[in-house]
Amino acid sequence: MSFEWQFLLLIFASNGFVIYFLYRPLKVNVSDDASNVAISKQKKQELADDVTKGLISESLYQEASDEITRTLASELSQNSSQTAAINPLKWAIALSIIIAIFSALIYAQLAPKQGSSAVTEMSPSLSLEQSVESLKAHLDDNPENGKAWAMLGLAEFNLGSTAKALVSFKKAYLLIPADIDMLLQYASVLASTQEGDFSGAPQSLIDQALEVDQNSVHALYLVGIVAANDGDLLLAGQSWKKALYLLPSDHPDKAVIEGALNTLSNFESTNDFTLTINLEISEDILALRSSQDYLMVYAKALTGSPIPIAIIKIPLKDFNGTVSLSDSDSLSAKLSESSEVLVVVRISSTGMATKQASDVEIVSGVVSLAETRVVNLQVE
Amino acid sequence: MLIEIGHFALVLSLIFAILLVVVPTIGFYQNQTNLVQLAKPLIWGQSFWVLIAFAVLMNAFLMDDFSVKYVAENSNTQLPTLFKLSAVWGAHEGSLLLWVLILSVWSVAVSVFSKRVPSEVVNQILVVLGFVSVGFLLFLLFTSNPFEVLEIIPIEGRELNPLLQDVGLAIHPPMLYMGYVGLAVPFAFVVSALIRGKLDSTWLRWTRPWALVAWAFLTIGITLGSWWAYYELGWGGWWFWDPVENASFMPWLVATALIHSLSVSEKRGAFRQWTVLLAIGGFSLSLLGTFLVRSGVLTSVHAFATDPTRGLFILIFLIVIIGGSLALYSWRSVLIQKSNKFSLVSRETGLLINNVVLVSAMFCVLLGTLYPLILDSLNLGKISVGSPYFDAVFVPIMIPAVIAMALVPFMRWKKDTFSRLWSILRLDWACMVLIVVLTPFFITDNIFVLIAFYLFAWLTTHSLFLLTQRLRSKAKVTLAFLGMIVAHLGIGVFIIGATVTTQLGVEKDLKMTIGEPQTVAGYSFTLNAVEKFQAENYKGFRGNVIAMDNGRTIELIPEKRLYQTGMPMTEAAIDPSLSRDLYVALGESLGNGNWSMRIYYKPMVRWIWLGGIMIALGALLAAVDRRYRIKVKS
Repeated sequence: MSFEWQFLLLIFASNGFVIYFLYRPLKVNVSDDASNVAISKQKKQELADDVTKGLISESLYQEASDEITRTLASELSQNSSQTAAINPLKWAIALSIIIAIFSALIYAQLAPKQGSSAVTEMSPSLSLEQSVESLKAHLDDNPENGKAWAMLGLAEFNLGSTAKALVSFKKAYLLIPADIDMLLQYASVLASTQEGDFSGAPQSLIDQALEVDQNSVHALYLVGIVAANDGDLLLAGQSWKKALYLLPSDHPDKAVIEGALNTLSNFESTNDFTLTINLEISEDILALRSSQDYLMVYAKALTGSPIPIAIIKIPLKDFNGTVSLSDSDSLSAKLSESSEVLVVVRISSTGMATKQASDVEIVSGVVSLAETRVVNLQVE
Repeated sequence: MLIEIGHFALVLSLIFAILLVVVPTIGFYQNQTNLVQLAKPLIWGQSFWVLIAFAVLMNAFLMDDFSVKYVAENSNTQLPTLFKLSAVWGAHEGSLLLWVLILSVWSVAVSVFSKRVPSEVVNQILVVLGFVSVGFLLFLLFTSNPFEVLEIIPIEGRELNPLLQDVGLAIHPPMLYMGYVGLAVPFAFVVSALIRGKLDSTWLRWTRPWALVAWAFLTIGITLGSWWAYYELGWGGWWFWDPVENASFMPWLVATALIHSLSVSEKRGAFRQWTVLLAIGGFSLSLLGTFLVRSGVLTSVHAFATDPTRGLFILIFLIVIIGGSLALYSWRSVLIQKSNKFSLVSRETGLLINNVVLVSAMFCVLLGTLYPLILDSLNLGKISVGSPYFDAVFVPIMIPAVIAMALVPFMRWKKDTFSRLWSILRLDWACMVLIVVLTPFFITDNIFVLIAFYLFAWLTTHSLFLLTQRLRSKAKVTLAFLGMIVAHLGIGVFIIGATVTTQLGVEKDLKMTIGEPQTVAGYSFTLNAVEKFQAENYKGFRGNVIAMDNGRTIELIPEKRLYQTGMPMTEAAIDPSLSRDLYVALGESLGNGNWSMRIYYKPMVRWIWLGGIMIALGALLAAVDRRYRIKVKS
């Protein structure tokens, strides 16, 4: 049966349904008055029960009962109606025409405009293998269809033919190098051949996707994963935060990215937050100092309390060129919770908290912890 | 072919909805009963075609018909059958179709279960529901068509968002929508009464059971959402004050006020104007929630301006519904019967206080939800309003409501005295004083937990005392009364669960090495192994964690799943009990056999959802009370 006939059948069924009830209307069950009277009776009964339950005093019972009566009286006085008859035939014709014409007009307005032979000819429930064959046949005739190559690649990958998938994706890449979906799928398939490692070619494809659209949420998410695997937690955090910002608030992916960020921040704050200070002390200075001297390295706030946020004190003789400050070295506020600090390096013969006349001290410029975790300083 | 049938069915549904609005309305104004009586058949026809459309879309998912764009974007051949079904409402277009289907279900329910309501009233209500359906069907067909077909049929569909591949989320949206959309019924009762100019006892009586059922579904929907967020999102929270959550919570607060206000209006003829406004407000907030969630305005007000079609449509519809119903109210308010008198100390006043507090709390949530959007739209910067604001403002507002909730059921209608309350409740209050004095020594010194425990004890002792009092008297214990007791106890259970888990819960992010135990909240956790695994439509890592609880061994199997999209998903392992949950989520591999892992100890967290279930159960009990089976003579 063709489309048109099926639609006509549906319209016919709709009209028949409406016409049936025009000629055999449903019975009116109860009137407003009957309903209000019954409800008022029940309300009076409930009021009497309320007296038994102690929910209204006996002295006020009569007043409340009168209120119910007055309400009923005012409700009954509002009723007035006289039913007029209709001509069912006239209405049946009118409604039938309306249903037929308007449904056809609205559907014509909304239905797909393309010659949908490709859509209707293909069975909707092809197996993956059949679909691959069908797609290959399509590509024989349309070898320049990059999207189709990408689809083929994805299907082959899902069928476990990774090598074939890579060939298809390569063709797709040559035809539609700026297609973000294709680039990211290609990157994922390539990464799967490297035990899920995105470094190298997959990373390059992700970078290309970002060049096409620096706001591609999926690309940003993958950049974050690559960065996290490389240990670059800063970049991972930045990428995921941007992806989060770009996602609609009700988007379910948001929770996944929030979860990743949450893990990252907890991980950073509890385990990995370190500020590395690469320190170069000139030979001249070292020559002047005793092996009993101390090296004190600390981070302090730009303004406010002079008390260090985090501090390390080691014998100068144990110094090996690098000092790391972390939350475990914090005195009051956590280092990981600070945004900007000054790093102070002091070589002290006493190791006392306040600077002595014989101490050598240098202070770094402002260190933004959101941007860097490494500070290079020289003591000359 | 079938897809076109589904699409055409949706068009026919729109035609039936339009006829539902037009034909009975002509009948009302020309007193032609046969036309008015067409309302029920027209709503049945409209609902039938929506059901057909929904079934066709569901079939497309089951058959992997990727010629349908919506199916191709949200399902693939690897997806398990259950999730293919739930994928139907997994994204925008399908969820709107579900919205329309549920509105149809409510409309048919009104037409079938309102045999004691006068036909004229029911028909007018169906017309209003039909008007709401027209708006949503137009929105669906012209901006969010789920039957759009693709020119090139993909051989495989995309992944359904992994977060949605969960049983909890398969049932959460339908339940929430049942509540959201159910508020359209009290709204329709009120608007139809305003249109008819007959704000009588009938509409008040029959609005309440529908409001109760809608409220029960909304409660279940919100509770399910909270439960799902807890176990699925992987960080153990149960409520985040997220705008999407607030969108469902605001109508809940107003609907709570409505069911109490309806009780007073119906029984004592007071607050009728207020009740009308609450019914309009409840559904308006449902629509506002839809606008916030569906327009993209929550992401950025500028995103709304970039792609305004959907948002603009809902905004216009929102203005028509809210503006139209308020205009109708101002026109017809003179017909609303004036409130009967009651004194300052009375049950009516108690319920009024409850209403004022609930609506104030709703405005507090509304402010916190809309304020960032207003600032953003005025280019005054981006701010985020989160739990610090809501905890500080919302919680204190609600405490008086909880205190009043226990007392009001003891109060008398019209007039009461404190001395009478003292005479019947002094024993109960003496118990409370004892509890307040002794609790800090025996339970905890955490002030928030203590306050929660006092509120719990306050509600529980009063509710049980009320029940005992009623059982001793000659009066019947009705289902409505039992429903009230259960719902109020549910609030107490929720309060204690929410506070204890928030205040006394322990959360640890740990670097765990295989074989090395770590202690959290007195439990020893050992990561025994992490192994790769492959499931039907995802693969990943599965951990084996052993927790030791006083010599008892608890095995926990958290998973880290990787779906086709590359999106990792955390599947937490939970050892549940009424006293506490142990919650373990597997994080990332840190190399050398080390894994990041999140371990939570959540005392009494289950009480939160138990409370939610009790509240919903209470509402359902009240809705099926015998008083709603009144016999009305024809």
